[in-house]
Amino acid sequence: MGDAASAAAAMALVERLAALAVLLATIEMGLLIRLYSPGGVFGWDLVAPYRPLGRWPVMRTLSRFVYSAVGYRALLTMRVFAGVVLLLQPWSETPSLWFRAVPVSLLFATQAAINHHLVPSGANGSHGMLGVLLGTLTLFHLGGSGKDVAWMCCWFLAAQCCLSYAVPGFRKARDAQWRDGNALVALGRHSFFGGPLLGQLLRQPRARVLARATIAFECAFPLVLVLPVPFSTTLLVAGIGFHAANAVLLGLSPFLWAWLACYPAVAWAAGIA
Amino acid sequence: MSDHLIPPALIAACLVVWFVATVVSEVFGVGRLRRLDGLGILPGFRLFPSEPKDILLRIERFDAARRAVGEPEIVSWTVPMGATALLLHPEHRRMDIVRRHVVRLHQMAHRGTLDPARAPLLMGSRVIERYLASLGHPAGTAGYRYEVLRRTRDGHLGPPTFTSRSINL
Repeated sequence: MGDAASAAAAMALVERLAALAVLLATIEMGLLIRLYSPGGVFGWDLVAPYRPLGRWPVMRTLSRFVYSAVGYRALLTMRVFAGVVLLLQPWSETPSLWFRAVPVSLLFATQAAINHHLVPSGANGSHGMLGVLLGTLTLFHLGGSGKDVAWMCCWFLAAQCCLSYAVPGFRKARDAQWRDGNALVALGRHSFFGGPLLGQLLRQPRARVLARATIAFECAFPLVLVLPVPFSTTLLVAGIGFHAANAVLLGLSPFLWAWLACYPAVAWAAGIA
Repeated sequence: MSDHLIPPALIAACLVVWFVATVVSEVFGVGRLRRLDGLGILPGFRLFPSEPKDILLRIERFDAARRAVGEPEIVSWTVPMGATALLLHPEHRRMDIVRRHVVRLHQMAHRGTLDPARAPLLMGSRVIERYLASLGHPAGTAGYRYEVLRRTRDGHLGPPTFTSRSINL
């Protein structure tokens, strides 16, 4: 574990990487805005009956505006603006509380609004992880961005990150299809995630080796917090490779940036930085 | 630094409650907790890829002539994927968002986070209806039906786990 002073530096890096993740996710959403606007396949009008905001009379009117085509454009524009402000903040000096807290809070509020809309069907793990990151950063700044708060937030993010690997890792370990590699073969053949390249790559016996390596990596990841630095560094590098491979082969690129943004906190908790 | 809007002790309490809620939701699989999570901040790490069930969606179109001989036409489609995936992997331009959307609804219905009696039928049918309409499929007497199928362990398609009513555009 690093000292409390370096926790603040780790949080500064988390903030910039989270801003980058938000910008990429926002650009992606902006290019597909017709899908999220009313009438699109992810339109609010489809999910409204199943969401609290769509059921309460006052909120129904508000949400109809927020999730309209105009509302979504405004929301995405605000996210780009706030993300750029965070990315361009100078490293050397600490800006005022309001200057730090407002852009992050805005990003968290807009992320919560997007998650509220997409959680029933269109959200994925990266939406959840961005919610965790931006919520933690908001609490960090509202708490004064001090060393003690940075210490707590770094531990929280490190613990969430470890949980995010360990839970699916142990579930895969209990699943015979994962242990014998057939789950990866099915993934390679899957019409959404798979393709000719992946189908060739994910064949037996290679699939079994890759599946077991994935299980071992995910289950072992929490050890990053207790292993000596060379081993914990190896686990973090393996994590970057894991997400990069998922991004290139499965198209899960938003996961790469969202999880990468947690890594400075994990590295700090592991005593690497 | 002393300029804070929330006392650090309260921040600590928030983080502890948040983490415990995540652990309870994830490890013990409390779906209800996730349903209460309007902000989407209980991440749902266990959803994918820990449950890689190969769920397939098949849409069949019945026009009058085909309906008479009981021979549906299977409609296929592709929709572009997002920008960051595009930048990294051009092959993924042609991912099928509609299929993901409907399949996701079915996964959620299976897990009990959506009402299986209502959600797949109402939402899934509307999604498909919209998509087909945007492709310019003719309205009128033609009807569509969709089925959800699962690939079995040996790689073959199993029987439908869900069949919608006929959808008339």
